[in-house]
Amino acid sequence: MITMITADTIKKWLKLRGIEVTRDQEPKGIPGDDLPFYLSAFSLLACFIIQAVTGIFLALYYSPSVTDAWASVWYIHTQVTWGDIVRGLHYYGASAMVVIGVIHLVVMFVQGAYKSRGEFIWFSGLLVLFITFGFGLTGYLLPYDQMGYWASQVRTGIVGSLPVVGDLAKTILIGGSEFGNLTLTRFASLHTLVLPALTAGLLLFHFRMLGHRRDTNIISEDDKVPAWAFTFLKVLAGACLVGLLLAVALFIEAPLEPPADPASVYEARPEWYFLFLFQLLKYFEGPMAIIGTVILPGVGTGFLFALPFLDRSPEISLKHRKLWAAGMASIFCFAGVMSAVALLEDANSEKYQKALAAQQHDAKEALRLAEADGIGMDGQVLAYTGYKLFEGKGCLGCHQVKGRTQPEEKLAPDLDGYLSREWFHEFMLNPNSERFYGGVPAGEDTEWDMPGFHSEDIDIEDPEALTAIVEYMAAQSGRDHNPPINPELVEKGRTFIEEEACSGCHSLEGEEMDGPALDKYGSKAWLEAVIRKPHSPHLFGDRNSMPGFEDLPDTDMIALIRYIESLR
Amino acid sequence: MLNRREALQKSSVLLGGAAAIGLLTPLARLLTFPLETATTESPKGFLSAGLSGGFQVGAPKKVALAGTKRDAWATLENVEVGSVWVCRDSEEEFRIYSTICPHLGCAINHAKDHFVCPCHGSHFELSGERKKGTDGGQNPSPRDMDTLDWKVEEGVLLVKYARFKQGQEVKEEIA
Repeated sequence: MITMITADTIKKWLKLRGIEVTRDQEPKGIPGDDLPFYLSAFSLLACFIIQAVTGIFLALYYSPSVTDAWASVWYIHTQVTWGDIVRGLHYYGASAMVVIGVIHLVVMFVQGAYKSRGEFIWFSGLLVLFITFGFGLTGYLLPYDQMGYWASQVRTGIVGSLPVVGDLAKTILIGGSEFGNLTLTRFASLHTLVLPALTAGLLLFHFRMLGHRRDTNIISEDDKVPAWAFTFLKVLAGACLVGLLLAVALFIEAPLEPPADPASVYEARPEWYFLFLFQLLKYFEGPMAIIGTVILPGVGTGFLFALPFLDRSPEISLKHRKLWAAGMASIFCFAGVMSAVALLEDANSEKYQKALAAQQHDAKEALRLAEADGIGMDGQVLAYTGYKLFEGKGCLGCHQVKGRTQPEEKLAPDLDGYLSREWFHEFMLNPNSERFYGGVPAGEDTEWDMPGFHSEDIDIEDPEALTAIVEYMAAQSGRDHNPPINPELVEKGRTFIEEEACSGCHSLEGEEMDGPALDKYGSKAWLEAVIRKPHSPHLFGDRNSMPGFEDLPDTDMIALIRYIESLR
Repeated sequence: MLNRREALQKSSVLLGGAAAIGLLTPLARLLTFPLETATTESPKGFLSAGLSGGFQVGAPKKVALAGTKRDAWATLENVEVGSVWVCRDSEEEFRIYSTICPHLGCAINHAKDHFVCPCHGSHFELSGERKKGTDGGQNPSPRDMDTLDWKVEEGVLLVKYARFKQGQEVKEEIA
């Protein structure tokens, strides 16, 4: 016998098994006065759902280990289609959750949610806000970039400085005595398992308590927001939130700083919602620091949790709760003023602005170099290490490279586009221009005097000669070019160099001549030779004024060369 | 004419739908990204299996091949990317088989006079041909062992490593 399967039969089948899908009665509306309360609570829930689902999808790619954390976030950020948008949704969603959490707290206070036996509504709402801060604290470290690493160092340092339990708490929190793989697995576990479970539980509890309170209140028909209107408002709030976050994620990239480098110096700043605590720390030093790290924040937190027991009158109107309203207001004013002072101090600090500009440039270079040169098994972007060495060894004092300030004195050729066909082409035409050897000091009794390709000293008529010589030079580094190297043209270039004007000063076989030998020019071995001993007779000889870095460790040399190669 | 209630109910559905699509579209792209982009990249070209003189005629030998592999974000230099069975037939003739079983991808072993996959009992002749079921048993492998291209250069045996789709009769390389 065939039974027709209809919606009703399915409902009945489920009902017999204890699952009710139809409601017994029409959904009730809510009291008009409670609308801001419910709406902010639902927005908080919507925000949590957005964070949860974007977090789940980010977890498809994220890997919590010292070697892979930054690399996997870089992968999401730059390689995965729309990965930057999902990361942006999650990143800005965190801020939205803080904002909505605070709004909900204020609404709860104004409406006296903890009154009429509503203490648990207040506690659960407050805990959700604090757990949201916990999400921020743990999530900030996960990309394992400079910002997260250094900010987390400060925070766990504060935990470690607590009296009596500090060391113990810090060791348990970071999984050892210093940051490492276990710090990331612990923070990831808190961020993706423990805190979401707690938040989901607390939000459910929060809503149940809201319902409990609603049932105890009598709703008059006149002052009711009907269920369908309430639904619309909830959906509207959720849709606005998604729309706003999408817009921000689409237009403002979530930041990703360079990989964490414990050996570097970094001016870390916390997320905007912790700025007031950061500022507070500046006023208390040494043994007094605990006032800024524990006592003052503790007083504020204690006040918030104790509020249902302090403000005990049944009065809801703020007029009759002036003292407690002043208490709430002073917390927010204090945080607001402190944040503003922190921002102002940073804005007016030339030193910080300079550091910030350098950090922002580092971040861009880290992303570019990871793409150009790849990320190694150890999670290092070797070319980025080279970039930092290039800066640290003082190369920037003489050589101009992309995006960096022009050296004060012109002392060496620009390395923008170095070893590219374009670089060689321009060099051949105007070797003594500002971009190349113009103004570059030479050794005693010498000068940089290579003639340009079209000067009277060069007598080559073949129109393809310049292209062929450029092709020969570009081929010497042994790297891939786009379009690929043309071997015939390389051969032709070699003939021109050997048989025509260049051979007066340059050898192709590494012999000592007036100008540097040209074979393998720009290859790894050649670059290493120039960096270690630029004054070698077969390189720049007497003309050289660049210091040699003979003792540079091999690993640094490899990194430096990888960076120079990336300038092409 | 819609009344206010119906209008808001319809708007709720539209708005909710739009928000859900707006949120789910980028999420779906994260899920399907590996369909449109190669997330791993095996080394192209020939990899060294060692000196060709190191293989004895008639004695299959398992060799791991190393090369540079890209695995999502990481570039793994000189890591083992897979292994092969090298069978030497004469001074200049080799046969190279992937150790990956065409059935479900376990690693094929060498037994006395044949190859056998320990997981589900696929078995092959030393010539790589799929053996008929012995003792009335079935042979789950859908095809012969997968052969790989090779060449000898300057005394070194070079193998072009590749992976093939499993569970089908036709040998089809995974791009």
